[in-house]
Amino acid sequence: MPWTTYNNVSIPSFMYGTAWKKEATTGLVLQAVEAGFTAIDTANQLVHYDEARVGEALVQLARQGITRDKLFLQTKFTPVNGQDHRLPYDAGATITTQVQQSFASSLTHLHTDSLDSYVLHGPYSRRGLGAEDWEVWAALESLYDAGKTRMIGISNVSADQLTLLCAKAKHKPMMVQNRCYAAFGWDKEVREICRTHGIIYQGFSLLTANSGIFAEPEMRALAAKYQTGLAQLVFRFSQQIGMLPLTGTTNPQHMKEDLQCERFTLSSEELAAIETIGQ
Amino acid sequence: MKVMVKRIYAPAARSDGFRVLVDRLWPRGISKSDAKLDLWLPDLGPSTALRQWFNHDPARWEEFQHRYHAELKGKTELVSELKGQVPRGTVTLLYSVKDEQHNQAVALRSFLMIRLAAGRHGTRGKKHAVVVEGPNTTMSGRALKPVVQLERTGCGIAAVAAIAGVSYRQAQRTANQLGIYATDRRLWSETTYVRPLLRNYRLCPASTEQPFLSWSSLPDLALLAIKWHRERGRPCWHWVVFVRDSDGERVLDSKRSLKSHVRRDFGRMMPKWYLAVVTKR
Ligand SMILES: NC(=O)c1ccc[n+]([C@@H]2O[C@H](COP(=O)([O-])OP(=O)(O)OC[C@H]3O[C@@H](n4cnc5c(N)ncnc54)[C@H](OP(=O)(O)O)[C@@H]3O)[C@@H](O)[C@H]2O)c1
Repeated sequence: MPWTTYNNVSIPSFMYGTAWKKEATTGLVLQAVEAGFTAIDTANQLVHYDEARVGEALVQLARQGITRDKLFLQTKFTPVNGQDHRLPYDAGATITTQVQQSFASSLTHLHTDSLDSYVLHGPYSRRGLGAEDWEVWAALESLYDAGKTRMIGISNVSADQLTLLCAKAKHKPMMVQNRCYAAFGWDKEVREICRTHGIIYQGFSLLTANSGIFAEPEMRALAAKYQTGLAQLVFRFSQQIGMLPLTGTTNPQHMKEDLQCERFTLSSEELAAIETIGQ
Repeated sequence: MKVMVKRIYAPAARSDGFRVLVDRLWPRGISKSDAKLDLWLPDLGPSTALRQWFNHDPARWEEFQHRYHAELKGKTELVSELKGQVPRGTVTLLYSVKDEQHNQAVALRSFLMIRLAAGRHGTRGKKHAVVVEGPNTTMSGRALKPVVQLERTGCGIAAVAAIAGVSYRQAQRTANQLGIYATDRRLWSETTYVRPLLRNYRLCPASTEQPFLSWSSLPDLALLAIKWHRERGRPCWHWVVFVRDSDGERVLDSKRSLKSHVRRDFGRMMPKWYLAVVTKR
C-alpha cells in the first residue's frame, strides 16, 4: 500500500537502494524492478553510489515499456564533506549554485527532466543547523517551488535538527531518511516528529544495524509463526509502525521475498514487543 | 588519510575525525550523545560465536584476526561504507574493551589498511595509496643493499626494506601504520601482507607466486621463500631477496647471525617459490 505525503504525493511502500553496487548497479536495478520494486533511491555521490548506472537501467527499462512515469525516483545532494575528489559541482561556488549544478547533473545521469524526491544527504554539522544548512535547504525549496521535484527531504538528521527545520523552513521536509537502530527504539524520537508533521520516515540499515536482535527467541518465534524469514519480519514490522523500508539486497530471491512481507500482518502487541526488543 | 583506533571511554577529540563505533553491543555507561559518534556499525563487529571463542585471549589473537578478516570479506556493504570515509580524512574506530592491543577495532584497522594500500577501496579513478613513507633514494641504477632484520620474525619487512632502499625501522614503521606487524605469522606464511607493503613503496609484486625451478630462470628481482617447512600444518618460510644486475646474481638475506648478508651459496638455499617484483618508475 503506497504512502501519501502531506503535500499529496504518493510513494511506494518499499524502496530499492543502490548504494555500493558499483558496476553491478544497472543490472541490479533491472532485477529489482523485475522483482516488483517501483521506487529507487540513489545519490549523486560517487563514493557510495553510481547514479549514471541507475540512469542506464532506466533507459533500458523505458525500452521495455517501463517508462519514467511508472517509477518513483529519489536522489540526493551530498555536501562537500560527504564527497571525495569526484564532485558533481564546483566546490568554489556558493551552496545554492552547488545544489543547482548537482541537481542538473542528476537529471542528466537519470535521463529525466524532474525528480519525485530530492534529498539533502545530511546536515553540515552533527548538531544544530547552521547558515550552510539553511542555504542548502532554501535551494532545495526553490527546486520544489519550481516544480522540478515533487518532494524534498533530509537524511541523517537528528531529532533536534528536524524539529528546528520543521519550525523554521518555508517547506518542512516531506520525507526523512535515517539509519534505524533497534537499540535506540528504531529511531523513535525522529519517527515521532515525523508522525506529528506528516513526514514520511524512510529507514535504512534495518538489517545491517540490527542483526543482534535476530538471535532473540521472540523474533525467531514470530518468524516461525508467520512462516517467514527474519528479514521480512523486520521489514513488515517497519511498515506497520509507519516506516518506509529501504533494501539494497543484491539477491533476486531476497528482492522477491522482501516485497512479499506485506502478505502477513503483525498484531499490535507483537509490534510493541519488537519496538523495544533491542533496548 | 589515517585510520586510528581508540577506546570509546577516552574523551573525543577534534583530531579523531570521523568517529565510528565498531562494537556489536552498545557500550555500557555511555549515552548516545556522549559517544559523539558519526556512525555505529554494529554488524561490522565479529560474530558472537567468534567473539566468545576469542574471549580476549592474546594467545588466540592471531587466529582471531584470521577468522575475523574472513568474516569481513562477506560484509561488502558495511566495509564499503567504512572504506568510503577513509580517503576523506581521519577515521577513528572506537571500541569498549579494556585490552587496547587485542580487539576487533585493531583487527579491523589492519583489514582496512591492507585493502586501502592495495588500492581496492571501491572508488573509481584516482587511487589513494597509503604512502606512509617513500624510499629515500630512487631505485634506478642503485645497487641493492641488504637490510638486517631487527625483529626475530621481521624477514618480510627486511626484504621489502632492501628492495625499497629504506632502513628496517622505516619499513617497520610503514608496516605498522598499515596494520602489519612482524609477529603476525601471516607475514611469513602468506603473501597477503607483504604485497601491500611492497605496493606502498610503488613496487609491483606479480599476481601469483611461481615455483622455483632454477636460479637462472628467476626474474631480475624477486622475493624468494627459502627454508620452507610446515608448522602445525601451516606453511612457513624465510623471506630473502633475489637480485640480478651488473654485479651478478645474489641473495640478500636479512638474518642477523649471518657473517655476510649477501649470499652466493646458491646450492644451500633450496628455495621453494618466488614472487617477482617490478619497480614502477
Ligand atoms: N542516506 C544515507 O546516508 C544512506 C546510508 C546507507 C544506505 N542508504 C540507502 O539504503 C539502502 C539500503 O542499505 P542498507 O544499509 O539498509 O543495507 P543493504 O545494502 O540493503 O544491505 C543488506 C544486507 O543484508 C543482507 N540480506 C540478507 N538477507 C536479506 C534479505 N532477505 N533482504 C535484504 N537483505 C538481506 C544483504 O545481502 P544480499 O545482498 O545477499 O541480500 C546485504 O548484505 C542503500 O542502498 C541506500 O540506498 C542511505
